[in-house]
Amino acid sequence: MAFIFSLLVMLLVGVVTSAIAFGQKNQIENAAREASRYAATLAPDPVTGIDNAWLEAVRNVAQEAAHGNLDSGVEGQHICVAHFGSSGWQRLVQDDGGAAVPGTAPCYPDGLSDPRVQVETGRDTEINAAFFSFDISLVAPATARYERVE
Amino acid sequence: MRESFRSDRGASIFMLAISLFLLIGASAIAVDIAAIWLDRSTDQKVTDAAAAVGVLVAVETGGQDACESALNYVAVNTPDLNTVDTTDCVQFDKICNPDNPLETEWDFPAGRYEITVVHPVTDTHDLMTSGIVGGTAQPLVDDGKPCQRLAVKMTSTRNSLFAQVLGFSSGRTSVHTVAKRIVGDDKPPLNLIVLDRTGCNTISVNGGGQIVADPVVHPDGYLVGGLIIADSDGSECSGTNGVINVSGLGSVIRADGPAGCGGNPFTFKGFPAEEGCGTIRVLAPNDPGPCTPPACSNSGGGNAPNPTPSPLGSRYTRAPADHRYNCYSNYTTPPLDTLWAAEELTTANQQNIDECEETATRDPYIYDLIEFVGPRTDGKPDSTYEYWKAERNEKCNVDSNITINNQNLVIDCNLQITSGKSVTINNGNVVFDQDVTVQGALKVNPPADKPWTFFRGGKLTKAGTGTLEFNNAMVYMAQGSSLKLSGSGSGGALIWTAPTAGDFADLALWSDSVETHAWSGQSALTLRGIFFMPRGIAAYSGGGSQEQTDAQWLAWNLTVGGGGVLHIAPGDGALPALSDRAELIR
Repeated sequence: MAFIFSLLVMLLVGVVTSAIAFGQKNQIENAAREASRYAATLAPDPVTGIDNAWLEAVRNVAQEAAHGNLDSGVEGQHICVAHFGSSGWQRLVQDDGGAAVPGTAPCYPDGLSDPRVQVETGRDTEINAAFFSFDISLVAPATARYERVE
Repeated sequence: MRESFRSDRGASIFMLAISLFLLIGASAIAVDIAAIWLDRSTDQKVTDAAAAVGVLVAVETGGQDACESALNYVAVNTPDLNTVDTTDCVQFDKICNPDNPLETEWDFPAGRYEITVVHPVTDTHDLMTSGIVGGTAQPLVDDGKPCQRLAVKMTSTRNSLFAQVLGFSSGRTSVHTVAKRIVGDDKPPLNLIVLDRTGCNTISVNGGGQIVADPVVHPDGYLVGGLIIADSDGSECSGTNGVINVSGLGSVIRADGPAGCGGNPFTFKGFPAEEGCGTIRVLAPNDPGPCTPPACSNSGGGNAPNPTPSPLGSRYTRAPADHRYNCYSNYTTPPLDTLWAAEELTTANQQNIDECEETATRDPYIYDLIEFVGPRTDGKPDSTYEYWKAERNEKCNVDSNITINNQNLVIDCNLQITSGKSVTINNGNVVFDQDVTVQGALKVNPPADKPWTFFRGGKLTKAGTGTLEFNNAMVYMAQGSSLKLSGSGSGGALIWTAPTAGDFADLALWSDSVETHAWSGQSALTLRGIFFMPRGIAAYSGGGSQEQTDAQWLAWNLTVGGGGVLHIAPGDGALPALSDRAELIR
C-alpha cells in the first residue's frame, strides 16, 4: 500500500511539474515569436542605425511577453537578440539577469544570408517527481527577416 | 458463502486499482495534449516567420524564390528540423500576374511535419475564409490582392509519449499564417525607373556614355544608395542582348552608395561613398553571375553594370507618380473621355495600376489640367488667354526681345526665337500648340499658384547655344509632343526646375508622349524635380561639360551615348521607391 501511495504521489507531482514546464516553454516560445516579429519591423535609429538601444528594445519586448519567465531572478534566464545587416552581426546577450553584453556574433548559426533578426529565449526549470528531480534547460529560438531599410 | 459475498474486504484495493488506472490514463493524455499544444505554439512562430519572408521575396524575386525562402525559415525556426527539400518550389510561377493570379499550393513533407505553401492566395482559399478550421468566414477587409499574399501552413504529427497505452498512438495539430505585402514607410530614394514591360536594351549605354545613380543624403543625415529599376521581363530579348545593356569602350551603368561594398571610394557631399554600392534591379531573370541575358549584357568594351543587377520579383509600375499627381480610384477605365487618357491607360503594353487610396484628399491634378486646357481644337482654355498671333499679333519668327507679364497665352504658330533674341513670359500660363525652336532664349515663369506650362503638340527644340528656362514650372506634354534639347560647351543653358509647392510640387515634366525626349549635356545645366515620361523614349548624349542633375527620371526606356555622362540624383521631393513590409492577416 505504501508503495502504491508513493507511486501515486510521484506521479501527481511529476505531472504537475511537467505541466508547469510545458507552460514555461510555451511562454518563452511566444516571447521569442513576439520579439522577433517586433524586431523585424523596428526601424533603425536614423543616425546610429542598429545600436544597443535597438537591441535592448527588442530584449525588453521578449521579457515582457514572457510574463515573468524571463525576469532577472529566473534561474538560467537567457535572452539573446542579434541583427544581421549592412554592418554585419550585432548582438546583445543577457544571462542570469546579469548586465547585457554586446557582441558581433549571431545568437546561433542559421545558414541564412539575408538581413534578419534572431531572438533566443531560455530558462531552466525542474521536473520533480517527489523522490527525485532533474533540471532541464528550455530554449526557444526565432529567426525573422528584417523588413526595414537600413 | 453468502457471508463472503457480503464482505467489503478487498474492495478498497479494487477501487484503488481502478482509480490509479484512471489517474495514470488522465495524466498520460494530459501530458501528450500539452505536448501538442506546445507544438502549436512553436509552429505558429515558424509559420509567421516563413509567411512574412515569403511574401516579401515573392514581391522581390518571384514565387519560386519565395517558396524556397519560406521553407528555409521553416527549417531554421523548427527545433527538430534541419532542412526542408525545396526542389518542388519550381511549381511556383516566377512572376505573379495580378490580372490572372494562378494559385499554386504545394505540400512539402519534412520529418514529422508537412508544410504547405500557397502563392498567390485567392480570396476564396480556405486559409483566407477560415473554412479550413470550420470557422465563420472572415470578411475581406483591407486584405490586399492575391499576388500580394502568401500563406504557409504547418501540420505536425507527434507520437504519444504515454497515451499509447490508451490507444492514442499520435496526435496532430495544424496552424497557418497568411501574410500580405504592404508598402512600408521607409521611402528609400529612387533615381531611375524604365517602364517598358517587355523590351530589350531598355537601359542602354553606348559610345562611352555613362549613367550614374548618385547616392542620396537622407534628411536625417546619412547616405542612402542610388537605385535603378528596369521593369522589363526581357521577353523581347534574343541572343546576347539584355534589358540592361552596356556597349562600347568606357560605357558605364553604375549605382553608387555609402561606403562598405568595396568599390572605388569617393566623397559625396561630405559623406564617404563608394562606386557600385547602390542597387540595380531588373525584372528579367538573371542567372547567377556578373551580367547575363536577358537581364543584362555588356559588349565591345562596355563595363558590366555595377553592382550586378539583382532581381525584381514583381512589376514596379508607374503607380507612385499617378498616385501622387493623378489620383484615381480606378485606372482600368479611362478616367476622362479624352484621346490622351484613353490611349494612355488602355494600350496593351501599359501597366495596370492599383487604385489610388487617397482620393478623399487628393484629386487627379494632371487630368484636371488636361480637362481644363482641352485639345487644340477647343481653342483657348478660357477668356483670360490671348492668342500669340491671332490676337496679340506677335511675330512667330521672333527677331526682337519680348517680355510679357501677367498674361496667359496660347502660342498658335510655329515659334522660332532667333539667335540673340529672347521671349520671356512672367506670371502667365502658356499653351504651346505647335513647334518651338529656341536659338536665342525662351524663359517661362508661370504664376506660383498655377505653376504649369502646356504643350498640346509640336516639337520643342533648343539649339546648342540657345537658352531655355522653365522656372518653378510643371511642363505637361501631350501626345505628339517631343523635345530635343541640344547642348554646347560654349554657351547656352538649360534650366528646368519643378514647382516647390502646390499640386505639382516637385514635378518638372509629365509627358504622355511616345516620342523621343532628347537631352544633352550643357555648359550650364540645372534640372531639378521629377521628369516623368512613362511612354516616351528618353535619350541623353554628350555636348557639354556639365552633366550633374538634381532630378529623378521615369521613362519608357533610356539611352545614353555620345560621351554623355548622366548623373541622376533625386531631390528631396522625389518619388520614393516602394519599400515592402509584411503584415500577418490570417
